[in-house]
Amino acid sequence: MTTNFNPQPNDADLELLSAYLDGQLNPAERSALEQRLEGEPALRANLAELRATVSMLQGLTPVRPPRSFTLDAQVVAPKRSWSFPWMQAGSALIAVTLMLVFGFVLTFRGGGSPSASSSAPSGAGQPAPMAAAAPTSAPAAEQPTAAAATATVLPAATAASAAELPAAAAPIGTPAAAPTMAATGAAPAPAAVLPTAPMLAAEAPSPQPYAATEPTADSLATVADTSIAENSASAARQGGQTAEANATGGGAAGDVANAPTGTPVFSAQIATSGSTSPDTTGLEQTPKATPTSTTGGSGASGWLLIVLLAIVIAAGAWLFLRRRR
Amino acid sequence: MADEERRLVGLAQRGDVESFNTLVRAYEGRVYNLCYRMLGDPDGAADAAQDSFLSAFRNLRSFRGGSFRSWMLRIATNTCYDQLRLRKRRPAVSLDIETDDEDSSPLQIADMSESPGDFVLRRELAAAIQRGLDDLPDEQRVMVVLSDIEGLAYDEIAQITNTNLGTVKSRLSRGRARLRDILKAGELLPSRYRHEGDGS
Repeated sequence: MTTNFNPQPNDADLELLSAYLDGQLNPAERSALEQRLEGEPALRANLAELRATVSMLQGLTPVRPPRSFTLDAQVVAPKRSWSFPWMQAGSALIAVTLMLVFGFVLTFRGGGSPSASSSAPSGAGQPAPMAAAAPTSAPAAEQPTAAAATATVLPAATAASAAELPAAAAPIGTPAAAPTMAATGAAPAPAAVLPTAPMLAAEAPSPQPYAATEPTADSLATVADTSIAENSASAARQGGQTAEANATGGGAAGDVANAPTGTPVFSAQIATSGSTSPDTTGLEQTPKATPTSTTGGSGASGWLLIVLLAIVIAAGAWLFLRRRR
Repeated sequence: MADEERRLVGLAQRGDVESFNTLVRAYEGRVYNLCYRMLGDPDGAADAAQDSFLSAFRNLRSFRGGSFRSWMLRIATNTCYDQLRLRKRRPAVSLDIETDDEDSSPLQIADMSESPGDFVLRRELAAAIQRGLDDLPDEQRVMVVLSDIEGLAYDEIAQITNTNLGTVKSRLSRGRARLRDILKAGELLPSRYRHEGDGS
């Protein structure tokens, strides 16, 4: 019946009225509005309606939840862990693969046939590579300790320091070919288990000890040189030292996300083993141990392979569980 | 209380579900109410509330201090928005039928002091107000609900809705005005307010 034609206030007035209800106007705004309310009944009516609306909303009885929303620990907790940790699994897989490859290389070198491997027997037959790294000369005897001191640093640094060893020993060894020759000469070597260039180069020097001398420290030549030191060391000791290097290197490979670019890791391990073994054993034991290398190396490296695999698997499992929490 | 809450949040962040459930119990009424007022139906509100707490638990690491209540209500608000968007895309389920159904309104316990008639009236009024809320645009409804039903201050509302004070003010005022119009059209506003403009 009664009509209600309160003129609709504009948005600005509505905002003022609304904020006024909430006590959100500053003193100046508030007194100005109150003054207007005195003289404008329509505005006053609007305020009253808004106030009534707000108080109706405020008067609503809170609805009661139909149930509790607490979470079931059994439902929540497993759901979180079902997300498979691909990164961890991937790095663990890479570590295991690396260890397998190295294990094969080790068995091949330590216990494999003399013709296939670059190993000590052939080296023993040829005096040149022996002399290259054997501590017969004074400078060469000093170099291994220097190299060993830096053996645990970054791959590049290790390779660089290891490069000094053959460089110093170069006059003793047979003067030889360019690094490119080392790389290409490696191709026919039957021991080429790994497709990586450093490893190929490392295998190369056994039949032809030409790689021992290039002092330009090209990365390929560096690794090849280091492997001579390695080869000339006793095979049994070499196996042990390389195994240690592998153990640390394998762990590093597991942690490093870009492990697939395994080349630095390989060279690091070779350099480490090469430089470490002369430090401890090279001085006295190299000549004596060389003849027994064929028999002693195969059994030791076989066991080492098993132990290493166990370590890597355990490390991978630990990593996996730890990240999972 | 704030210290206790911080302690519980810290424990929950380390995966302690029971500590989190203590927080759930403290806030489930508020969260469910917000969801119910935003969505207008009890079942959808219960789902949204459950989703909100689950989402809160899973994203607890992203909570970097401040008010847990605001953080929780923000998650609930976003969950409601998601539900509303979903409904708009799939309008096949008629919500009107549900909201018109008397039995679908949530539990509202009768005050022992009021008569059965008053209880019915109050319930009808509540249903009418909810229909009015349902008719508001989402961004106005959330302001009205947070301010006038949840009783929150402007700055907290701005925080929850990820807006600024000016936006809160204008959307709230427009939402209130629009709701007033709806209530007036349904003759739900007390007559003295409706007639005030006519007199002197």
